[in-house]
Order: sequence, then C-alpha cells, then structure tokens
Amino acid sequence: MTAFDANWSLMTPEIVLAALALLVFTIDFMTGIHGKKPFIGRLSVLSLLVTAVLVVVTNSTSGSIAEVFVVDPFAMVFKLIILIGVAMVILISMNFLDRERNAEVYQGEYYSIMLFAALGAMIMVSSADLITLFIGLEILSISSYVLAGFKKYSRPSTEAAIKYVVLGGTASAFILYGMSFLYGLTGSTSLLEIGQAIPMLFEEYTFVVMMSFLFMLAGFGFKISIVPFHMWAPDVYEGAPTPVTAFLSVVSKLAGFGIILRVFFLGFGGVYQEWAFIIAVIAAITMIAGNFIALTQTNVKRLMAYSGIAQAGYLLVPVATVVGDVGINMIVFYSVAYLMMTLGAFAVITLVTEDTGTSDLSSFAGLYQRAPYLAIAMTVFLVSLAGLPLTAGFIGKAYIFFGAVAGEMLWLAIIMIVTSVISFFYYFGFIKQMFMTDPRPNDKELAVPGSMQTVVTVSLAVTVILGILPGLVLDIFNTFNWMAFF
Amino acid sequence: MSTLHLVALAPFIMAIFIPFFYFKFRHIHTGWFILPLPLILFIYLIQYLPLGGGPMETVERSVPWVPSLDIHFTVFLDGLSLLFALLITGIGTLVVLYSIYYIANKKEEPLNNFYVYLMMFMGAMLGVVLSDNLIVIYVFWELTSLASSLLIAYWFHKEKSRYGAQKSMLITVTGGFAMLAGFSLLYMMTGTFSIREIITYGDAIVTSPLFLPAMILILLGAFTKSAQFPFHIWLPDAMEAPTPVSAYLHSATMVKAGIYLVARFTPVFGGAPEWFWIVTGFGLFTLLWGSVSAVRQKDLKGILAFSTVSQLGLIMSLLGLGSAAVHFDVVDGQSLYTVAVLAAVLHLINHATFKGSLFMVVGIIDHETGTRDIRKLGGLMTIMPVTFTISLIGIASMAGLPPFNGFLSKEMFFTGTLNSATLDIFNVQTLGVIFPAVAWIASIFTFVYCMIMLFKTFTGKHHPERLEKEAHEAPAGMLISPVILASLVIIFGFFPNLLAYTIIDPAMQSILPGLLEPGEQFYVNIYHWHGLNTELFMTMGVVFFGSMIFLNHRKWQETTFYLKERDPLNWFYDSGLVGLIKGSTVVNDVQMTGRLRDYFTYMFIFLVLGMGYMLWNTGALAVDMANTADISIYMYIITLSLVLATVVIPFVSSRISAIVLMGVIGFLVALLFVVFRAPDLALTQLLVETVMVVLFLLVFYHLPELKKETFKPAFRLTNFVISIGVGLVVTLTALSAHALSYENPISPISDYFVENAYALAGGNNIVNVILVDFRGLDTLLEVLVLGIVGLAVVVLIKFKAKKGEDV
Repeated sequence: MTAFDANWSLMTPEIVLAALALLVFTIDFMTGIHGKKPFIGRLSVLSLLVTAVLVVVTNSTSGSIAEVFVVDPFAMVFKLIILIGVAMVILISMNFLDRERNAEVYQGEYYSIMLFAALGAMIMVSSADLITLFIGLEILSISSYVLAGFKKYSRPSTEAAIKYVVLGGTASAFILYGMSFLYGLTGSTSLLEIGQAIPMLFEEYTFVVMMSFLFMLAGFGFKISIVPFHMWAPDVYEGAPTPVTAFLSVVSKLAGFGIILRVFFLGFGGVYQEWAFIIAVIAAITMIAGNFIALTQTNVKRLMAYSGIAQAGYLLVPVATVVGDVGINMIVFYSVAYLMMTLGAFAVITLVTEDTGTSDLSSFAGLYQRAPYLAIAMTVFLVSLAGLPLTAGFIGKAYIFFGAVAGEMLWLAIIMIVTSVISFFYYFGFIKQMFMTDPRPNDKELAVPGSMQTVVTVSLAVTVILGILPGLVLDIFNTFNWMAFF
Repeated sequence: MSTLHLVALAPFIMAIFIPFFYFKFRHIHTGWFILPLPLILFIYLIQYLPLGGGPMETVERSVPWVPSLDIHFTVFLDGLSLLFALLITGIGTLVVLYSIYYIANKKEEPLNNFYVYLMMFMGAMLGVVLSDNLIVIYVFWELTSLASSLLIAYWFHKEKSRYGAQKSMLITVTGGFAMLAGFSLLYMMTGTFSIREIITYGDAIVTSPLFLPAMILILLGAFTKSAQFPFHIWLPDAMEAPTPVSAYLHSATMVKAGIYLVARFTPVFGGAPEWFWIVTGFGLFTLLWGSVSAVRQKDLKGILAFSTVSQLGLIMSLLGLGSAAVHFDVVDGQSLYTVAVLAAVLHLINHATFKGSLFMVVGIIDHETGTRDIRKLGGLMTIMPVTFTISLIGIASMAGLPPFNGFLSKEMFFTGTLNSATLDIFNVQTLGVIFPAVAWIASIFTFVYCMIMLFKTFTGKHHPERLEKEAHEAPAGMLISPVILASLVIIFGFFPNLLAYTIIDPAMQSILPGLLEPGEQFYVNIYHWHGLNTELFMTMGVVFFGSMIFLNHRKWQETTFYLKERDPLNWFYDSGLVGLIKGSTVVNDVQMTGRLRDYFTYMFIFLVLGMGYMLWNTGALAVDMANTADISIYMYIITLSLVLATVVIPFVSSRISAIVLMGVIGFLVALLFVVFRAPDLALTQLLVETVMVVLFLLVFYHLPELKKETFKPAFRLTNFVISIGVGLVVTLTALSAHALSYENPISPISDYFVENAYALAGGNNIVNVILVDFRGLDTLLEVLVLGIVGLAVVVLIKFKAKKGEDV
C-alpha cells in the first residue's frame, strides 16, 4: 500500500491537537470529574494556539496525502478561523462555567469535547475526499450534539440536544445518500476525480447528478442553517448553553461553509451554471426569512439564531454569483468578519444573560449605564452585523454585494439590500435597549472578568481594524491560489 | 495624507478627546473646547476661495485605502465642495457657540455625548462633500445618518425622540443602501469609483441599459436625505432633537447632503429627460406639499420643519430645471437656463442663513417661555425686542421680501421657472406652464406661514399664564449666533455680488462643467431691480393673496384640513412597521412550532419539490414500460395484497391490528422474494419479520394503553400530501431510472461479484462471499457496533437495578 509512504507530516496540526485533546481528557480523569477546573480551560486554549501556530508553519509545505487530505491556503485559513473561534468560545466558556448556576457541567469533558469538535472541523475543511470529509463532519456533529445537551438537568438544554441529534442525523443521512449517487456514477470518492468526471456525466445523467447535488445541499444546508433547513437553529440555540450556542453559530457554521465550498466548487464546479440559480434562490429565501422573522424575537439567543440564518444567506450569495478565487476571497473575508463580530456579541450576551439570569432582550436594558465598554463594543458588533460602514461587516457585505452586481444577479443584490434594511430594524432595537432604556431596578454595575475582556477587546479591535483597513488581509488573500486542484 | 484629509478627519479626532475635556474640566462648558475647531477649519477653507478674481483652482489629494477594491480616499475640492464645506464649518461654528448657552452644563446633561455626536456629524458631512470616491462618500453618508439619529435621540427619555430617531435612521439608511446600489451600477458601467472619472465617460453611461436604474437608485438616496416627497416624513419628527442640532441639520448639513448629491451628479445624468422630469417634478411637488403642510402646524419648529421641506423642494426643482442647460449654448457666460442653477446655488446660501437664524430664534423662544406652541404664544415683541428683530429679518427673507437675500433668490426662482416653461425639449412645451404656476402657488403658502409665525408669536395679547416660565429676553451669548446670521441675511441682501465670483461661479462651474471654454466664467450679476417684469408682478401677487389668506385665517382655522396637524403620509410608515411586525409574528408562529415532525415536513417538502422540478426540468422523466419483464399472476396477487394492507393501516384503530398488518406486509415481501427466486433473502426476511412482530406484540402488551390522539384535518392532509408526494417522486425516479438504463446501458455492479466470487474468494454463495470477504471489514465493524449496543443494553439494565446512582 502507498498509504504508508504518504507525507504524514502534513497532518501535524491535527495529530498534535488530537494528542492534546486526549491529554486534557486524561488530566480530567486524574483530577476527578467534579469541580471547577479553570486550568484545564487554559490548557485547552493553549493547545488551540499551539495548533494554530503549527497550521501556519505546515502550510509552507503545502501538498496532499494521496489527494485525500490536502493542505492549501483554503484549508489553512479555515483552520485558523476554526481554531481561533474555538479558543474564544473556550474563553467565554471559562467564565460561563465559573458560575454556580452551571455547576452541573463536567468541565474537563466539556473542554475536551470542544477540542475534538475543533479537530473534526479541521479534518473536514482539509479533506478532498468524500469519506474523510464525512468523518470530519461527523466528529464535529456528534461533539456538537453532546455539547448542546451539556446542562443535563436543564430541560431546554436536553430538548435542544435531542432535537439536534434527530434532525442532524437525518441531515447526515441526506449527505450520505447524495454522496452515494456520486460514488455510483464515478466509482470514486475523491473530489478531484469526481470534479473531472462530472461535466461529462452531467450530459448523460443530468437528473442523477442534480439529485445528488440536492441531497448534499440539504444535508450541508442543515449544518449552516439555511432555509428551509434552519428550523433547528432557534430551538437549539435557545436551549444550549450560551457558549455552545456561540460555537454552533460561528465555528460549526463556518466550517460548514468550508466544506460546501470544497464540495461544490471542486466536485460540482464543472457544472456551475446548472446549480448556481438554485443556490441563489435559497440564499434569497434565507436572507428574507431570517431577517423577517428576527424582527419579533424577544429572546436574545433566538434573535441571534435568526440573525445567523440571515448572515448565512449573505455568505451564500458569492457561492451563487462568483465562482473561483474571487468568490472564495469574499466568503473568507466575510467569514473572518462574521467570526469576530458574532463571537464578540456572544461574549457580551453570555455575560449579560448569565448575570441577569434571563435571555430576554430586556436583560440588556440600560447596559450602557451598567457597563459602558460592553455596551459600546456590542453596538459596534451589531452595527457590523447590520453592515454599516467603518466595520468589517460593511466591507465584507459590500464586497459580496459588488460580486452579486457584477455576476449579473441584480435581483439578488437588491434582496440583499432590502433585507439589510429590515435587519437594521432589529439591531437598532437591540441598541435602543442598551442606550435608551433605564436599567431594571435591581441590576447593578456589571463587572467584566479578564477572559471576557480579552474576547471582547480582540473581537472589537479586529472588527474595527478590518473595517478601516481591510487591505491588511485582502491583500494577502489576493495572493492566494485558494484551493489545490482547482 | 494632506491637510484637506485632515479637514474631514479633524472633527473625528476631536470627538476622541471630548470625553477627556468633559470629565477633566467638569466646571467649564465642554462647548468652549470645541468652538475653535470649526472656526479654524472655516478660516482655513476660506483661503481656497478665488478672492482675487479668476476661476477657482481645484485641489485633489489622494490616499489609498483599499487599493485592491479600487477604493481610495481622494479629497477633491472644487467650487461645489468648497461651498458646502464653508456652510458646514461656518454654520457649525455658530451652532456650537449657540449650544453653549442653549444646553446648560448640568449634572444630568450628558454634554460629552452631545458634542461627540455633533463632531461626528460635522466630520461625516465634510467627508461627504470633500470625497471623490463613491464608496468613501457612502461611508460618510451613512455616518451622517447615524450621527443625526443619535442627536435626534439625545433626549432619549422622550418617546417621541426615540420614534423620530428610528424613523430618520430607517428612512435615510434605506436611501443610503439604494444609493450604494446605484454606485455599484455606475462602477459596472465605468469600472471606476471616482466621480470625476465617471463624468468623463459621458455617453458611454447614457446609452447603457443600466443608466436609468442607476439614476433612480442614486436619486432615492438623495431624496430620502433631502426630505423630498414622499420621504420627507422623517424631517418633522426629527425636530425632537435639541434646537442647535435642528438648526444645523436644517440649514447646513444632513438635508443639504441630498442637494449636494444631485448637484454633484448633474454632470453625469444631467442631459437626460428622465433626470430633468424626476428631479424637477419631485422638487416642485415637495415645494407645494411642504408649504401647504407648514400652514397648519401649531408648533413653531413644526412650521420650520415643513418650511425646510418646501425650501429643499425649491432648490431641488431648480437643479432639475437647470440640468436642461447642458443642451444649450452659453453666450457671454449665461443662457436662459443657467439662471436656474444660479438661483439654486444662491438660494442654498440664503436658506442656510435665514433658516439657521430662525431655528435659533425658535430655540430662544422655547428656552425663555417654555413652549413653542403658537396657540400659547403672543405679544412677545415688546418683551423680547432683539429676538423679534432677528425673526423679522429671517421671516421676511424666507417670505421673499426685499431688501433681504430671500427676495433675490425668490425672484430668480421665478425667472428660472418662467424660462424653463419656454424650453422646446423634453416635451416641456405642453406642460411647461405648470412650473411657474406651482412655484407661484407654493410661494403664496410660504408667505402665509411666514406671517403666521411672525404675528402669532410676536403680536397680539401676551398670556403669561399660558407659559411655563416668565418670558424675558435671552442672554447676550445666546443671541450672538442668530444676530450674525441675520446680519448676513441683510449683507447678502444688499451686496449679493460679494458672493458672485467668489463662490457662486465656482460652484456653478462644478455643476455645469463643459459648458464654458477653459478660463471663462459664468456671468453672475445679482440685483434687486429688474424693472416691472413678470417676476415682480408674481411677487406682488404672492404678497396680496398671501395677506388675504392670512387675514381670513380665522375662517379656515376650523376646517378639518387645519386641525389635522400630522402629515397623512405618516400612516404608510407607521402601518408599514406594524404590518412588518405582524407579518413576522405570523410567519414565526406558523413555521416555528417547536415540533420535530413539522421540521421534517419542511425538509421533505423541499426535497420532493426539488426532485420533482429536476425530473421535469432535466427531461429525465421517462416512463417506458416496453422493456419490463412479464408479470406473473402471483405477482399481481401479492402486490395487490401489499397495497391493500398498506392502505388499511392508517385506518385501523387498534394497535395490535396495525402491527399484524405491518407483519402481513413483511411476509408478503418475503413471498415476493420467493417468486423472484431468492430463497435466502426470503428466509432472512421471514425471520426478521417474525422476530419484529413478536417483539412488537410483546412490548406493546406490557405498555399502557395510549390516549387516542386526534389530529386536525389540515394536519392529516399535509401528511397525506407528503406521503403521496414522496411515494410518487420515488416511484417516478425508479421508473425513469429503469427506462433510462436501457437508453444508456450501465453494467450492473453485480456482474463483478458474479464473475469474481468464485475466482477470488472461492465461494459459490455470492451473498455470503460479499458479507465475509469483499465487505469483510464492514461486517466486522457492524458486529462491533452490535457488541457496543449490547454493552449499552447491559448498562441500562444495571442502571435500573441500582436505583438513583450516577453512572
């Protein structure tokens, strides 16, 4: 077998992360599973940062293991997004788990499962083979199911986990079903070979190819919560522990975009014209439904769920309009912006909702008087999510918007604009709560612990800096030849 | 980075330091620290004026911002931008000075917020008028929306402030987004974001199919910002802002940004009839609507707000009329139609002076009497003489009376409309008479509300008991700014040619480039007496009819028209918002049921629809029975029984019978396998089915009787449709696959195993060989999974045995 001649060093980051995750797991065993373990949290963050450094270092020797596991700029950037995202989620979690209310969570298990989830996502975005891809996806998914139900004595959390696992399992089945058609047609699971064979096969077996595409779209669409596969998101987001919600809405979703790009561009890229319209329609419905329903949400976590659905719609627009490196540029830039603004917002949300004990929007009343820095930071995140100037969200959205106009999908661009206006409505309501309402009578000044301060400050800085000087990363992205074999 | 960049950015830099000034020097009013900045900027900008005569030198400085997206922060200073920049900084200085006296330095007053927002506002406006790059303009444009709505909501404890802030924000930001869309269309046509480069493309843009969409989108941005009908509804609600802000917003910033945009894009779109008609039409209608609405306001600020709406309509319509000038030759620096542009620029300056002073005066009245309601005010002339004098000057100018500057521009406005009525292009011939007619009617109403403002406030009987405070003259500091503005009204009225070649001509050159030879100038000579011409008679008519209406105002005061103060168009905004919320709630309730089965429904509906569409669209739908095998009588019988058993299941009420029927289906399938000559499969199926049925029966025997659930017909129908849909699509897919496999024969996967089972694995039973050899690893893992499940079962049983213990 040639497998053992492969250049396994390409997998160094994954191997190291797996080892560190197991280490965290073992330490947890040795120290007893109960009680607070901030040091394990710190160790986990360290593991992620070490891995992130390794990812950057490994990239200089880009290549692939038997065209199954590839290391290319695309994989590198998505891995960095995943690792930084998870590291920030863990920083948020450390504060979350510190509270008496959440004492039921076994911290060591929580952190190690978080690390395994990151590992799954990394494998996923690096794979150019349907099997590896599915394995990565399932590692991520199963970890997510577990994480959603981590507050096991809380009914909403358990309900969230059950719903997630049942629907998620179905989505995985869809993906497998779709993949099976591809394998049946091409006799290969390699995206490279599939991509080469598809244009010819499409002539003869149009229906089968498109059916396979539809099933995979349904499955992947579930992971990134686009309409009509979004229903799980509000329910699960609401029930899951807040840092896990942050994880689901950022890391899980962006990793999902990673494989959508890989599979659709690499596998189905040859017949791009045939499916672009389907994606455009779904993007449009997603933007409309997400923003429209978000208008009346009074629960912050549900609001963020719908906002996240709408954001997924924006991210989907370049998939439908600009194939190739420029399209990936847009998606990756917006992903970075989305990572920062959403995680920053979730850090504030975690802090506020845990402090007041309710995730109702009214818990943000008068936040400006209780914690001015948090309120200002949150405003920047919301303004960025709404896509207003001088924030990373604006540049990202404008870039996508120009792509849509240039791709001659003017109707899609117009829907993007109209829905952005609608979105402004509920983001403005949020800001109004923080600045223009008096705090509730027994709410006192809000202390911001160090780990949260770090997350908020980093997100704020990146959101603003990328909004003012987007060239810092765009210039680097422009030099990338994103995907191997593409 | 040049000094001019710094001009736009200085207010922002200032904003950063404001909290420091505020908290460090708590006893000094923060405004004093701010005041020098706009003054310095104003003085700095004045030096760019061509004071020594001759055309103005334009300045351009560029700094790359996001070069990869062709976005450069280019500052471009020509006559038009200089005019606006001077207004912004000049009025800005006076507004800051005024605010120092208007907003007291009290503990509960967050002065630092006020000045941060104000500086943001100023910087953003300067950015809009100084930038050349469309994206940079857009960025600053949205910042003005943001800053102004923050200022409107400054006293956010008032519900009306929040309402006004949200309204202005939603309307102007929507317009901003539309404008961005228009900009991107321009980029598609020309490949550049620089306005000056876009202007050079000329015909390439006009002939493009995107020309009209781009124009309409950009005009949407301008109209929402400049409060043109029907988007003007945000402006009256914006008067909830502190009065210095209103003065600034109405006279020099925010609403003038839309005018700037239209003037700036006149060289790009100006020659087109659509531009002429849209800009003129909306402008004139807004002029009329605003002046008529202003008459029925009872709040002084309300009158001024609608007056601004109407005056902006006037300037807008002049820019529209003036755009026709590009089709005519200019002789001696003027043509019949350039006069409209001249009037627009002149009125822009005049409006800034008188509207600024009037707002400040109203602020003073509010400050000193505690009310702005004209039904409570009266007889202030003797109590507040200085205030009265300033008001008199400002109101006379607004009404268009000589010798004030408002008269000059009003006359010129009439001239412009009269000239345009003679146009022989754009089908003006038939409709041209409307222009002067509308202008004249609107001017009458303008005159009426001016009279209402003046007489209701300052004459008549004074009623101290109706006022919240005892009225007296304002402190001197508060009067400085309005006095300066009122003096300008007089100075520009008597010496209008001070402005002629210093600022009006350069601004006109930017609005109408290419009409003149290089080095030439527009002929600008403004004077009061033109002889007994039509314009003068029109003005006399305005005064006469206006006075008649005002003197008879008791009669129409009781009419419903007068009593309804609120603009009827607000209904659209308010009910639109309510409708949006209602719709959102309905959609939310309908689809977010929290039930998994509904969620599955959506996913399957999508797949059924998607696959059905694909079948139909790709022409894969091919039902071809030609190549099917013969069907024996046994098969018919078995299949019929299968169908029958399946159909009956949903209708049986007993659980046991349902299980038995399921079993029947299973056994029939086994029989089908027998008919197909697959004894091993049949055997397996029989075994599995038997075990299942027995297990089911056993389990259900021990379970308690469940409550019978009843479902709504709609729910049953949905289920029915879905099941039929899924069945139909799968059947069609199978049939199509069958039919197509004869068109494009594929070798079945089983051939490989038939050929190789014996050769490679040495087994005759192909199924066995596949299980233990070809797919040996799979089997091993399956066994492993079974083992794990077994373990789990054991654990669960143990868990039950030792009650209450954690595992």
